[in-house]
Amino acid sequence: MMKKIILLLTLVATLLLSTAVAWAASQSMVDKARILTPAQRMQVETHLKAVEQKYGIRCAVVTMGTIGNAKPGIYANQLIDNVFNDGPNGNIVFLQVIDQRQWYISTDKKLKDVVVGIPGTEYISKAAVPYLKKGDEVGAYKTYAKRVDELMAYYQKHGKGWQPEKKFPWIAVVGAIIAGGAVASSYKRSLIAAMSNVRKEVSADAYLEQGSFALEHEHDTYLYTTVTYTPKAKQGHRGAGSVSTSSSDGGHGGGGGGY
Amino acid sequence: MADTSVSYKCLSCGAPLSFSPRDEKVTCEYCGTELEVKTIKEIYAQKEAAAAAAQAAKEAKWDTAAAGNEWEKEEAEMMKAFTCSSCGAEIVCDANTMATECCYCGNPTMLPSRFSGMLRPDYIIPFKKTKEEAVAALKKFYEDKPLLPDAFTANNRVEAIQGMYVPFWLFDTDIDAQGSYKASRSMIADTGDAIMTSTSYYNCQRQGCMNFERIPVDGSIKMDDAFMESIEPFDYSEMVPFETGYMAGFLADKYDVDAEAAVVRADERINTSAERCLAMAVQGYDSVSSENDCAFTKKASDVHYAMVPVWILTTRYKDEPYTFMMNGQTGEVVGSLPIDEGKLRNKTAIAFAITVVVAFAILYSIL
Repeated sequence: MMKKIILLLTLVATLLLSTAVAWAASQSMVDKARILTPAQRMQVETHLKAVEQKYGIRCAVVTMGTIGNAKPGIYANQLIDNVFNDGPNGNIVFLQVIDQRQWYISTDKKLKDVVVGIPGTEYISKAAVPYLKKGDEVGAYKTYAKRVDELMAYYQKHGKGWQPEKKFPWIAVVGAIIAGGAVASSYKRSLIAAMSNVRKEVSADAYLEQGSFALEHEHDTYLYTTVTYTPKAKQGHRGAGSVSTSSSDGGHGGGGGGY
Repeated sequence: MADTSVSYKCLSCGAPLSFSPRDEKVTCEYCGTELEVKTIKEIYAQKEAAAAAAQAAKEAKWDTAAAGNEWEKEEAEMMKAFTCSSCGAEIVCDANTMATECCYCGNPTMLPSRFSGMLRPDYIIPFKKTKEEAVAALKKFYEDKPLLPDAFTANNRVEAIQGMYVPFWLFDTDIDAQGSYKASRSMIADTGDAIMTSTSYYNCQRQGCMNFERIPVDGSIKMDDAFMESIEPFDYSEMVPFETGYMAGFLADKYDVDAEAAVVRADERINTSAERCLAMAVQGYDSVSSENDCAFTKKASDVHYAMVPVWILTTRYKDEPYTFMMNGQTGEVVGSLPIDEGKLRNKTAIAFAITVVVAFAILYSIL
């Protein structure tokens, strides 16, 4: 069933793309949703071209009013495979779907090593998506171009994609030491206790005549009631700014989310 | 002058007699003569009476001479001298000794004046476990003790082993008890965005009656109460009316904690059991806790004086004595073993290290 749905969505995406193929392959800012003025398109195009020429890649932005029921991730991957696939050193596209309020950054296999996983995608989205929320698309796209520039520069300098510095896991270390101390202390007590079986008896249970107990009187009195409320844990949802890599596969990198 | 003590000697060869836990007879280890306990009782009853009378006479005389003696009066009360009927040596023992052995000739010796009248026990539980079984049980007790120093088992020699009849008071009682408990019942409901827990509290009064049979409380000051309570319980079905013949070959003390003083400990244990019984009658609640006001009254009560068998084993490690006790009837061994601090440190460190590694891996993957 799931395979059929994915196939259907892919067909829809391909159909929609058949019109997109007609786009001028030289344009990197494709505003199908018509949310930018010509001047704004030119401004963004300039920024994108600068990055493309600097690194020999294709760095595109596409806005779509709608993509039907297709997933932005699949649609963006199709754009990489069928439209923006001529960058000698790799291809990347930023897709914004207006009716779904979704964005997705897709890369080909080459740039998958530059924009590495969720951290790499977040490096771009955390800077660019806030502009989308404010309705400043130009700011978002320029920031996107700038961040791709930074990631490419990092890759060329270090020979590997940017990864956030791992912080020393102090909480895990302290927690592990506390747990270790508690377990060791409890184990130590049990070991010491095993060395002696001299203990005073607290009761005379062993000498209670079996069946001799008879309840003669019982009286229960209600005292009071307490009521406490424990808030339920909120169901986790992917809010704006969080990144999903559901459409990432062997040939594509990147991720997306809402805004 | 009549002997103040009675030695149980073989009627055939004159060698010392001793009670054999295996076949429950008084036997001569030298010629193999076996005598029933009842027979010993009949034979020695007259001798014991004479010895008791002689001791009484001796003590009367000793009392008049005490004014000019070098012993303080209290010391003299504690240290009593008896004449061994076998070798004639003077046996000095404390005021509570009922049976001992002569330190010169090793003859098992009864001191009948110590169990006459009110001091005579009602019952005795005869030894069932032999000295060899006691040593074997102690060795088994050492097994699988993770912190036992290797040198303790390697060089261990049981320094002393003594079979001893310890005086116990056995309390029978029928009681009425009452107590109050705080109980709670909770109801949990889902209000949509929260879980509501409503807990109602109740005061529950309970009253009931119950019977206790033969709660033991040791009547000897020198026997550690914790040790004596740890070797419980005894099988009372094997308890028999007191006969001195069972004490042949063993040490025995008379009580020096009287029944009135022992009642306090019995009452403490009865109170705890009564409180638990009544708590179990508080039903239909999610939690029950005692208000610690349980009290009981005795409807009927009876106290018996009994001698119970205990093997006392002493060993030494690094100049420190270690005492173990074994229930001479059931074979239950109790005691505290020395701890190898190095082993304790290593095992604790390993537990710490393993936990830290596992906890770190879990926390690192979660956080």
